[in-house]
Amino acid sequence: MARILVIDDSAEMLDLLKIILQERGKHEVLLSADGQTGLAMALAERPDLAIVDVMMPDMTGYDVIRRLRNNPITANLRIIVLTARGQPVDRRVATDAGADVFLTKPVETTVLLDKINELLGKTPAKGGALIIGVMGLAGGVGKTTLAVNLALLLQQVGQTLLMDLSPNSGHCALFLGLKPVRHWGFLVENPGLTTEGLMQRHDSGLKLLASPPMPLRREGMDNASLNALYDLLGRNARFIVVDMPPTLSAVSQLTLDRAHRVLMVSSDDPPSIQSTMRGLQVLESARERTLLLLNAVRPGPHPPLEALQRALPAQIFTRLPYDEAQAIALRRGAPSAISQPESPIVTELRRLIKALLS
Amino acid sequence: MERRQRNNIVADFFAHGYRVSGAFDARQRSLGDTIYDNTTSYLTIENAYVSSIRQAGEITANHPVAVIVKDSLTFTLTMDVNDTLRRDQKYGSYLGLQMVPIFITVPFFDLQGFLRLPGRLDPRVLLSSSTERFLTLVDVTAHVTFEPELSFQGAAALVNKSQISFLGLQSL
Repeated sequence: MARILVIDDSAEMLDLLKIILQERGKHEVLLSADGQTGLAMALAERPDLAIVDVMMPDMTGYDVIRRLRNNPITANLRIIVLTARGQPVDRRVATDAGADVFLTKPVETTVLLDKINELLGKTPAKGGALIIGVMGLAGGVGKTTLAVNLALLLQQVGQTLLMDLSPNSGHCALFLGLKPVRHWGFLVENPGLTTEGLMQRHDSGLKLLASPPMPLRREGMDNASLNALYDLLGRNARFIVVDMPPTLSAVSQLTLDRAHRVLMVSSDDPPSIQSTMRGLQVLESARERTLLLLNAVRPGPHPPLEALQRALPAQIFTRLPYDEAQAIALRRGAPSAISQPESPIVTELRRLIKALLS
Repeated sequence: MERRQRNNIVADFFAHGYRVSGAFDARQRSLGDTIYDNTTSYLTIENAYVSSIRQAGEITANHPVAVIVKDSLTFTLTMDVNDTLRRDQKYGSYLGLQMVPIFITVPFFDLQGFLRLPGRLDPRVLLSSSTERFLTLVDVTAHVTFEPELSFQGAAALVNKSQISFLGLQSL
């Protein structure tokens, strides 16, 4: 559920959009009948998205959008323009003002809700891949293990690309039994390289963009390159699973912005829970798209889920059971998704995929 | 969602280098019925938003109520053909309707679209303004003369015959 601000001078339109967004979209709706009040509500209520009419007295929708974009607090607000002025020149002016999406009245309810979901990052844009970021802010929580297994299971659904964004000799290639002879480090050195040439293919059909085998002494991939990579690679894959670095670096921030789903992996040890709790507090904008996974990385008793849930600001999706055989399978380059397809971990991951794709 | 609220038809009205977007309360009629009605010389629109053609996307003024003088109107553009057709134009003909491609120049614009004709094409009748002051085009693109990449599209247009300077047809 997202918080959506609607700014429209038509009372009928406000009523109609309120019903659609609340009943069909299950969103929280804020209404404003004029631009000035809408701006104040955007600052005070911090909505996730705004739907703005253009033809409004006193302040037009374009002026509202320009002011929202010029204010650092609302500069990144997702904005849909919904107007009866539907000429190409109107689209251009709306886009120049800073609108993300331009829709003309009358709009189909499903089109509006789809665009909202797309903007909120819940569904990929047409022709793009579903990007799933796998993140863990504490070390040793099984983040890469989970990313690799998830990617292998998604490959059974559609073409999947696994991106290892670790700047410090990531382990995705190792866990897949591949040698990282090609990796994104080449791209940092030679920006002109084709991306397809950097991929490695696993026997399952899964494509891997490995991380450099040696830790980098310099900055890793820059944001422009990573953005371009997501756009380019998204055209040839249905899913992109990103094994994210364990820090909130620029690369992580961009991935969080681009990811349609974020999986936050944590063990149930107190230090890991604390890092996850703090991380989720910082990642407020991505919380809506985040699923929390607890990974039992050691045998023995574990704290009750209810107690952990009380401490964490996001819903725990599941606790993956401890499985000693998994570590052995990984060392052999045969992750559980392939070598133990009926294991409890893989069963839980299949359930996770269902949730991700629903 | 419905475009029509209280039978309001949202349209773009073009006159003397200005674009006015507004809602016309047609009640039980269409915009075509009102424009073609020779007993009134103006039409009243609500929530009028004014743009200069030079900056056709930017709104320079707005008025809760505005009056448009029909004689001064160059053309009006709507997104729904049913908003524009006169009642008698909405029905078919024993002769069948033919779609005739047409090119028209008016002040500030050239228009491309189709005439929906229930019979033979006769340009003299077509341009005669003694009986009907407007011409109905469908599937219209209007290019701004001094900025051809700037265009307006609509399902239908009502063009003021007295402002037409050139009419191009493919055959007679």
